[in-house]
Amino acid sequence: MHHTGKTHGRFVFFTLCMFLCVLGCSLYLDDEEPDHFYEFKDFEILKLGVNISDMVMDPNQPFLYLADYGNNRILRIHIGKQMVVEGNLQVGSHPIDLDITQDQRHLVVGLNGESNLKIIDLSTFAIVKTVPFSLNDISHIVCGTDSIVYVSSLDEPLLIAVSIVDDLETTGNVRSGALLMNHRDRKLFVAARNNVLKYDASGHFPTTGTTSTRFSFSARINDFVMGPLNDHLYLGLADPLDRDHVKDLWAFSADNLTLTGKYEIKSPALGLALSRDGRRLFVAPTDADEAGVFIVEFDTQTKLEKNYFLAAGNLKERGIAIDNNDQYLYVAVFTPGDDDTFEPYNVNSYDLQRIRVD
Amino acid sequence: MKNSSSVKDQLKLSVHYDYEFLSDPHYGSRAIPNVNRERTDNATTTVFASHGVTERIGLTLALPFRSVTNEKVLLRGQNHNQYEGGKYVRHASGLGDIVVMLNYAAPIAVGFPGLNFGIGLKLANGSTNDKDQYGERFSDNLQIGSGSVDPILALNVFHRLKNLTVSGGVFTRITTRQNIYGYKYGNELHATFSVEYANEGLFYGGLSLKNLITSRDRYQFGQITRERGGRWLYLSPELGVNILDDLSVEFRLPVVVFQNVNESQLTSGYLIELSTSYVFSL
Repeated sequence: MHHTGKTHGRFVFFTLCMFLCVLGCSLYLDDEEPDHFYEFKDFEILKLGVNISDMVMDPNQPFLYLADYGNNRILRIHIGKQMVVEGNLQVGSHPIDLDITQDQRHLVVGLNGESNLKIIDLSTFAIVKTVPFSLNDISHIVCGTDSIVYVSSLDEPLLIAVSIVDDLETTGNVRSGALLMNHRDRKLFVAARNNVLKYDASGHFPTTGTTSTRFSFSARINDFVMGPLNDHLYLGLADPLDRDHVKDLWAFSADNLTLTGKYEIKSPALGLALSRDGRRLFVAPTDADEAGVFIVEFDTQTKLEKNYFLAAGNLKERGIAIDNNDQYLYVAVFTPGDDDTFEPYNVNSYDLQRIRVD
Repeated sequence: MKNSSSVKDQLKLSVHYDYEFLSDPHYGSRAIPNVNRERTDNATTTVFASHGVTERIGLTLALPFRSVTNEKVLLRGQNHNQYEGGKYVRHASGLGDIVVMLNYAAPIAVGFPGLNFGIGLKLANGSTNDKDQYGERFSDNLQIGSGSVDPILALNVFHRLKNLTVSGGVFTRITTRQNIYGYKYGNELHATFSVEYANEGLFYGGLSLKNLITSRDRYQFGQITRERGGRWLYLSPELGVNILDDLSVEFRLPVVVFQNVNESQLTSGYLIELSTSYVFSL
């Protein structure tokens, strides 16, 4: 009898334990979920610790070229299974802007600290020529047709054209600003501080400008890109006095320079990258939100946000590029420490982050 | 705590300290990068006073003194008061929400397990208005008080097999309403199964498995929050020392063996718990 009582006791005890476990596992589960706009993934980062002023993708080889402004170098990054620094080349004082020549054989480096262009052979990654010119403090360059490079300065109101074959320099009445070239139609686009201009670049020097005067703005140009069909221009604008007045990305028709869209990101766009088909526009914003800094993907058809990709830190002007397969984004990121240190050079220390976007 | 149930004409005073260092962000059950290098130090020292009113009914009062410190490195634009970013610290400390419990120990029939019931209230006395260095109230999950009076229910079943005590229990807090800022904490359920060995010797010890489930919080009077709530499973070894007949000291180290949080949250791989108790005969 006593034995039976014990057995019953144990049975009741374990039944109660089971009941408690089931209770613990099945109650208090949420029946409602919030919308999920993004997903966290591990960061893939190549530690560099440099001030990246521009980046450009090699059109034929798996390389990315970075302008290392502070160390006067161009870094060549191999972007295979892993990102590896494959070489670096001293080019002169403060490389600020990069472009690939139309024949896709050379990388042209615009130097902000000296009045020279450096021409780098992409197959050997060696400097093959130095081209002097007469402009100071340049900010932008773009390769035109027939070995012409257009050079624009922050100080000077006018642009110059430099031949990298015979070093001849031509000046004329063309505004300075961020530059883009439509090689097929031989058109040069200039994003100045208050409007976009279009020039015929089929001759020796650009002529006959068309302006977007009716759609003017007052802004600093952080980045300026053109769609793959040469039909749209996208401008990353920022308030020159950082008063938060300009927070949209503006798009213009490359044909008649009319406004074709305002892409609302509520933060000045620092850098822009377009997919090969022009459908996906990736925007590197200035500001982080509560969860971090997100690269915003827009659908250029709907002009609405479509995806978000988390970056590892603060982003940079012109610090974004997409590979030739539209598979990865490459972004310059600065992950700040606690900034309570007296160690110098602890700012503007950018690394390279790769983000899968396909 | 050992001998946690109240005994008639005895007053037991206990001090319990637990510390949690949240610095490992997880998304669901997967570790993710800590973008803001964020971390939270959570330390609570709770004074328990338990008094046995009768043989079966006891009263317990818990006074938690909490310290919450959250540090992170802001990115540009994350805080309008500190636009360029940098180190940002939020801290709150003081007396948290007081808990009052009424316990009932059911009569034990021979061969049947013992049963304890508890019912109580978590009061709303803790501050919900701590501010950062710029004078702005910071988020509710870093405040030391919840701002709502909530019922608490507890049920504990135990069975003694000579020196071994096997027990299982649930403890739940059900949030009844939002605080003055429109924030409502999610419900919380602890389910524990433990085995403890104790003889007349100096040391005693045990092992327990605790399942913690919390549901999502709500903000703005009903909006469902992200990054709150989840499930955790802790395995907790315990070692105790009977220093005197009436005085004991205990150490527990709950280690996370499984966790699945909603979206991304800071987590900790372990907790540190220290407690001591002294029994007064009245």
